Amino acid sequence: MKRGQFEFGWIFAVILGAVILFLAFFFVGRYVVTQRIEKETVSARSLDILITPLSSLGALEATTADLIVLPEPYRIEIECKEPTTNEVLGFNAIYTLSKAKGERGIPRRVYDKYLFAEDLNSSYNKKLQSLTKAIKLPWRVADATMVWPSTRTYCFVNAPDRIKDELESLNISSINFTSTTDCPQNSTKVCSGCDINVDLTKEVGEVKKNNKELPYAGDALMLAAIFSEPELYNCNLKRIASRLQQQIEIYNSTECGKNFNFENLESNASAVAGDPQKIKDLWSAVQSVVAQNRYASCKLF
Amino acid sequence: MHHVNYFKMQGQFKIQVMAFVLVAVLFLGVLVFLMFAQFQSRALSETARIVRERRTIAMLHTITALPEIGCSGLETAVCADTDKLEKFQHLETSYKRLWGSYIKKIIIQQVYPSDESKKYTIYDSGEGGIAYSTLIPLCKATLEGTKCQVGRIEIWIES
Repeated sequence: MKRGQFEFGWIFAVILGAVILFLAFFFVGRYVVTQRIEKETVSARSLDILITPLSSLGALEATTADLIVLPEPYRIEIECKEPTTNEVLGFNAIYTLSKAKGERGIPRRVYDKYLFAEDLNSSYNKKLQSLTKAIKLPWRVADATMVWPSTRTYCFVNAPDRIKDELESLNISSINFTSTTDCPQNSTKVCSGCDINVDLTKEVGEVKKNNKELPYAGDALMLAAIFSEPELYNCNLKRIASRLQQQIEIYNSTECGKNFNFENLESNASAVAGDPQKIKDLWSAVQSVVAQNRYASCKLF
Repeated sequence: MHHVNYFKMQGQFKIQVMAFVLVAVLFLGVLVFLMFAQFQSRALSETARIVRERRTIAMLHTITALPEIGCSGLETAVCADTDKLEKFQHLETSYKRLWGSYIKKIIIQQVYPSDESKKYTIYDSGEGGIAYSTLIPLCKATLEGTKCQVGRIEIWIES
């Protein structure tokens, strides 16, 4: 056999073997990464699917709670996009990250939900507690969905009956009610002068935590402020106000709605859509519409 | 010398045959792997389809629970307000993101009394799909009271 033929054979085998090995490793690597991204994406969808039925119940029952069990421990990030002229609803984006330290999955954007959460991305959690309550300004504008790790406990001190009775009936194990500041160990206290500083008796006020003030109007937004990080809360408040503006336009076009005066409500909603700090001013406009509805022969809500 | 060359040739031939056999085995392995990947992908697609179907059926009632569509003063009922539907049609652009990419069309149509058939297009992406529907009351609140008719809500999802 000629020397050249001998060398060609080996060279051919080596090159071809290297190409095949490269392709094999390449496709296996891509498959593993794709599987992980798909798993993260499916997880985000699972979370959304778990939340969706709760949102739909908001119209039938004012407040609902559920325990969300994820297939494995995840870190969750919730981001918020403020409403714009082209995107009047804004959205929340849910990212999940499993312990295998995969890449963040493709986010699940939700345009009809308003998610309030704090520090979900600081630890891996398999179980999450959710609480959904209708935001009424003055009709049900949307549902606020509060989410926190089931291992994190909250202790409401001297909560008024309207809040205590409603939340106790939901049997949320991570929320306790006491009449003194003797709360379970490692629980986050919610009361005037506590870790989460808020006067629970007031329907309008502010929640003070981590040197930030979160103004609220109504019990739903009060609970949202208690369970949410400030940036997420303020952004969702703008989204809610923007949606309220759309709804005012719709209600104003109905035969019953034409007998109402929505000017004050509309202007205050517009103000909150620009600056969430003005939410407290919105409340008086809300009460004005409530009064109109009380005496209307054709009720809007 | 002649014998040595012959054995060398035979050895080389066997090495090349083995190399090609290895190539063929690897190629077969790659084919098996690709078939497995396609099977997994198909199973994932089927799961996604089932999830979308369940979500769509839940949405039939969720839509009527929307404040923009639901009956005023009857918030605990599954009911659509015709005045709101009339206005909501003009806000389709603002709400188009609400429905997700797999919802192709949402229509509410009056079915009874059939002589006053009216159709409200909540959302239309211009694409077709598989339809799910249910009957709902269509009501209009007036100063004289609430008047209701029978309607059907239809949702098309991607096939």
